Amino acid sequence: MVIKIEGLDFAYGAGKQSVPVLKNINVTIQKGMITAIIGQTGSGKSTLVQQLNALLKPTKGTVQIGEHVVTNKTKEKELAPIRAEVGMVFQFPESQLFAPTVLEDVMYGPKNFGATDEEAKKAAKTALKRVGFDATLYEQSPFNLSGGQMRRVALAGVLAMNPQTMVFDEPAAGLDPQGQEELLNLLKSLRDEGKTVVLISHQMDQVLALADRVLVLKDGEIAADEPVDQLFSRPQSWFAEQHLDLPETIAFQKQLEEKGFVFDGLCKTVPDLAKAIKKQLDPTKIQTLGSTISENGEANHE
Amino acid sequence: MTDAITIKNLTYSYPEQGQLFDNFSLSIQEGEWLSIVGHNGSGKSTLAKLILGLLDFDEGEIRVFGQKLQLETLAAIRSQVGMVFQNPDNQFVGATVADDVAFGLENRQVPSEEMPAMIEAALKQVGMAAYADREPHTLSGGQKQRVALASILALQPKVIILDEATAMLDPEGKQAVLQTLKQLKERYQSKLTLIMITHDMEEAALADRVAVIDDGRLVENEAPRALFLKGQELAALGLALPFAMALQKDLAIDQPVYRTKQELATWLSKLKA
Repeated sequence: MVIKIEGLDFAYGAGKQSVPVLKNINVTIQKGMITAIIGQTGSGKSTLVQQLNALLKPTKGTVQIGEHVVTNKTKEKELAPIRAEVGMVFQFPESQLFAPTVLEDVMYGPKNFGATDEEAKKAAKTALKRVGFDATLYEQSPFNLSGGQMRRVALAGVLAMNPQTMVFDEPAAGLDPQGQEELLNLLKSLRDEGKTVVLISHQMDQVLALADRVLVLKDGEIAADEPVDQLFSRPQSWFAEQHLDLPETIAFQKQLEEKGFVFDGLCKTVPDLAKAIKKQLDPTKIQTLGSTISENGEANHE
Repeated sequence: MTDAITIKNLTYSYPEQGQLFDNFSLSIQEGEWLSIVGHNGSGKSTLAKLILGLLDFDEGEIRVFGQKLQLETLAAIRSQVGMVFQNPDNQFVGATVADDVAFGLENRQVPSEEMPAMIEAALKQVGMAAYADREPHTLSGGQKQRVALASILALQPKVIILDEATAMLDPEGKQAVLQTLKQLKERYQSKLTLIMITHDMEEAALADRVAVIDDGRLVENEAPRALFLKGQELAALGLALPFAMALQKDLAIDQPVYRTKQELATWLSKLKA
């Protein structure tokens, strides 16, 4: 399912009080890809993704979601099928848990879309298993869980509905490194199954590791829409203008380039960067300098 | 040295999920900047809630500047310890930024004529004085967290606990909050004790000491420069290394030494062929 946004403007409120948020957006979210949306706080990211499942309707222009076309005239009752096709995981989704037990909380979505109790339970268990949730805690109240476990329950709630497209707003914020890695693997596996994944993230390392394509928003307009490698090849000054950081590996690579190192393309991971650096070091210098360091246990900070 | 907080032989069980802390002890010195790290569910936030008396522990004791935490001392202790939470949106009560800072002062029955000067001073310290009349919802996340800090500073606490206070912020907001913390530490020196609960190792490295908690146990407790040399041990605890240390580990060309990114870049340029 492709999502195509054409000539979209969006403003909160109407008339004199209206606050324009998105201006002249033309983008296509490709099927079976991970598209990252990045931009400074207030650039319109969360408002844009709410157009993807018609939680917000465009003020001007159209959003085509698979078979459905949404304009500002589309009636509320026509939007229900879209919500089943596009799942939305909001920021800190654990704040929206509500049911007395974990299992009931995850079953709520499928039941809401017409599944029987039995089907919903099956879907819920499959989803909970997929996010690595401990099966012995299914009957616990979700409010007694740690933050990381609550996040898993909230994610399972959306997975259980099995939508074709899933939108994640800062899904890894507040998770520990292991939790972050599990989450990134989940997003990759969804993509590999042919699902369309949209990711909002402030963490550029995550975007670099995951995204196929990146949309950059600035003040409600698209500042870039390109493959991830192309984006991160842009100069540091461009990222500074967007108030964005570079991923750590690439920022360090650029720092070394200023000191005369030469790299062939982008180093996406720490091991890749280490390998590329090592090739350019002088073994004799490593021996002399390396041994002085090991003798006195201190680096030469200058 | 005086202890700001002394936790001795603490035992605590969750209402439903069994024991978290069993005989847990940790001291935090007056004026110290301590980071507490550990994987999700390790007990970091629960520890903060226990210190503030938001949860009751089963056995052991907690002392704040020598005063034993119990029902009778709760108010006195809370007046010395301020806390900033993770979600900037859940911490506002006032219609304007200044009102919000005033709220805490009103609770303390500060005479109203003394308030404006105290509010202005607190907002100045976090670089938010120009926003005094703004409505909180018009602020960015980083600005909101700085106002939350100002609300606490106005009450002149001796200890501030930050529970993942930068986790929801974008990089700029995060830098602004960390910068503010550094300035506060600079200004108050030993008069302010900071306890920062975080997942972010670059952030943890700002502290004088890092305590690592794993399932309710204190497993590491030392200066960041020493702690971050323990790559394997940290990975086993589900923690990441700061970027420069992770890169050094993969370079594997010398005995491990703690270096910041800047220090590592300088050192590598010396080794360049």
